[in-house]
Amino acid sequence: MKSFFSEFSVYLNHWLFFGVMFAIGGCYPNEELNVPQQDDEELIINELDAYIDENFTKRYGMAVRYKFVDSYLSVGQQTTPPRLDAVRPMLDFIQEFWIDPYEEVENGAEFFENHVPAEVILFGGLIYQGSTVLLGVADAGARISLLDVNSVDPDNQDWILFQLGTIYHEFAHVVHQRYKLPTGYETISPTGYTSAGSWFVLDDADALERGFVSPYGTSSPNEDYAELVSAYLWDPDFDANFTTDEDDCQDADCESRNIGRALIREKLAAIADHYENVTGINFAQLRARTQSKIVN
Amino acid sequence: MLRKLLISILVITVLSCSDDRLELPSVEDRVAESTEDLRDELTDPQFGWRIDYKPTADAGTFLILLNFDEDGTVRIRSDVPDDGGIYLDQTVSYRIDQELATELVLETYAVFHYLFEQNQNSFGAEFEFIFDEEDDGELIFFSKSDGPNPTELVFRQAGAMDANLISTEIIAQLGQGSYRSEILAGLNPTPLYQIYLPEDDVSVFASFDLGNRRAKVHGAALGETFEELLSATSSVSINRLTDISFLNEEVFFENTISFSINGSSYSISRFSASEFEIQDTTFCSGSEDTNVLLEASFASLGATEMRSSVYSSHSVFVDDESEFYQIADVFMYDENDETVQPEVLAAFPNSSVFVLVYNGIPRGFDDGTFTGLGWVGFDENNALEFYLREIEVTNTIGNFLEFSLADGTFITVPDSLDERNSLFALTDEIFSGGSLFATEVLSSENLLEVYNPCNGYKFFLLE
Repeated sequence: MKSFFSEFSVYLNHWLFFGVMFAIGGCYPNEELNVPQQDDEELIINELDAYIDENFTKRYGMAVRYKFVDSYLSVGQQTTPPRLDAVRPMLDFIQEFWIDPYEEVENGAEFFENHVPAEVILFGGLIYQGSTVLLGVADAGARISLLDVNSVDPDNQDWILFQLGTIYHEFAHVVHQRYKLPTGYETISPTGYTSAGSWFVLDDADALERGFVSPYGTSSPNEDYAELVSAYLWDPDFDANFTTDEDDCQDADCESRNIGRALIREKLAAIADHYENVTGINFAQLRARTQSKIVN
Repeated sequence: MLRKLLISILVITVLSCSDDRLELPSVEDRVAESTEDLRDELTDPQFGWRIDYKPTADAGTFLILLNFDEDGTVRIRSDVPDDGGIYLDQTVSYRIDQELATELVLETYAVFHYLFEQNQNSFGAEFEFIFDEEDDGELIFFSKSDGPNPTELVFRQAGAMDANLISTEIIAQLGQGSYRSEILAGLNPTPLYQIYLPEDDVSVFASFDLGNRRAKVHGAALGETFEELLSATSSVSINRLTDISFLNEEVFFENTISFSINGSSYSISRFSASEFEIQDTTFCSGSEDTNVLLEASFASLGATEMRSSVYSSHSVFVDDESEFYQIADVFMYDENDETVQPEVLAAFPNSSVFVLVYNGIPRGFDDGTFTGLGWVGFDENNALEFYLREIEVTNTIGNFLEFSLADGTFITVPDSLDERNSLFALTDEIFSGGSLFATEVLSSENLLEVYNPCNGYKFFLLE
């Protein structure tokens, strides 16, 4: 007769890890598409190249790459190119949700054209790294890589927010790489940062108590800045989640969360001043334009 | 003398260098020539190229035809009917690169990329190929993304009729025999079929992993109906796994599977289906269900009926003296394939894993063996918490487990009335009807998929 459970803790930890991987695997898109005609596809390739050249490369100096080149990935990373019929919807998404908000605020168009990355790389799938999934990559402000393009769906708010989180995060890096962080930014929550490679042991509540909008933000001041800028722009519930204090706190955890919110408010004020000083853009107006696209 | 020798060597060296420069084209020219040579090879055959594509040693074969055009596009036809059929016929762009070697890259998403993405990019397929050589009219490539043991891809010149070999119906028809159509937890459905030989009154049970192109023949038994099979007087375990391929609407087993039952010998190597029908059936009393009926012709068995089923006479489930199965609770699903994890966590916030114990001895359980099911997690102090409900097993045969939910529990938290009520409510919902059928997941050892035909719930279990 076998005696179970003596090694159960080991099993359990194994499954907690395996569970994350499996859950991700369950997210393959359910695509229902018509079979395209090959002549149409050849036409699409030519039209796409011309459209990108006219509307992105010539207009903004931004080359959008959708044909697979493995040197766009780091060693050990693997993913797929986008479906041909996902590229144009993705371009429309980039225009509406990333470019248009900047063009609709004062000084925004000039800022965007002067700071836009030289290359935007589109990948169809995700990049799996052990138990985590890479959401996007920025390379010193010159290149932004966007993943999961094959799931493009302008009616899927989860996908929209996922992509905007990546875009605004990576674009925020361009700002601090060009203009540095707001003065004294690193000193607002200095004890909240985690040691190298350990941010993922925190959950969202832990991060909030430390004055951060996400566990990843605790990994460095630069990531903190990028996560906060990004969340402020894309998250429809940003105020409720990160800046509005809970009333009538009855326990220490609640008080800790409100202390964290105060730190986030302080960082946000520093970012808004800095953003307006170096870009001429009113940060709150930029959020308003972005949110007007998301919440329709 | 030495001086003469040195001068001679110098002259020879200079001359030889000079000769090299004169005869060898520039690197750019050689790269361009190599690129053009491969492009010429690829675009030359009238009917394009055929690949009998086996992405890994653990998968069967996919039939793929490639027609390269000089304009940089390639038409790709395949026998992968997934995602609404978009991979059956696509045109995408290709590129010939020169890095350390001459490479062929399929630049936008097609069937190769779809296969590459299976199992979270770990299936083993590829869409970048390193050109090795031309060998007697065949082009030999190796995978660029495979690592130390790359897949070899052999491009053979396609014949005029090869396009007719692409199967478009039977794969989709077989796939409809599963009680689920979507990928769950990254795993393909594994439809299970009862192959009935009417002349001998023999039923053979086989399951098909169409994503990995594999089949497993579990066993055979005398009888046709579920009741007859449960009390079969003769049965045999076969338990043979084989890679499969599809050609011209026919299923080919890479390894012929032979067995004997009731004094007769049989072998299975290939079959085709002439009629396809979806019919109403019942796998649980009081619950409507459907199954697929195929009139199939086996090369050595003659005409048979293939019916999709949930029962297999020899699939392994609670067949040992004592068994223990577990799965993270996120991999339990309702009839709409939605995970039931939120319900479980609402009842047991610390829960992480569902367990099924058959004649086991939980730690701290002093009342002999325990047979039951429920959830396990950690409390705030990292101590294990158990919420298990006893079951009374009434029948176990093949992949079938019949039981009734009992009142006994094994709950390790104090003052557990609320937990007990939650446990009863959850188990009443998920295991209503008391019938479970398990199918082996062919791509993952010791992993089962379990189906409750009484309510459509399903979940995975790791033994």
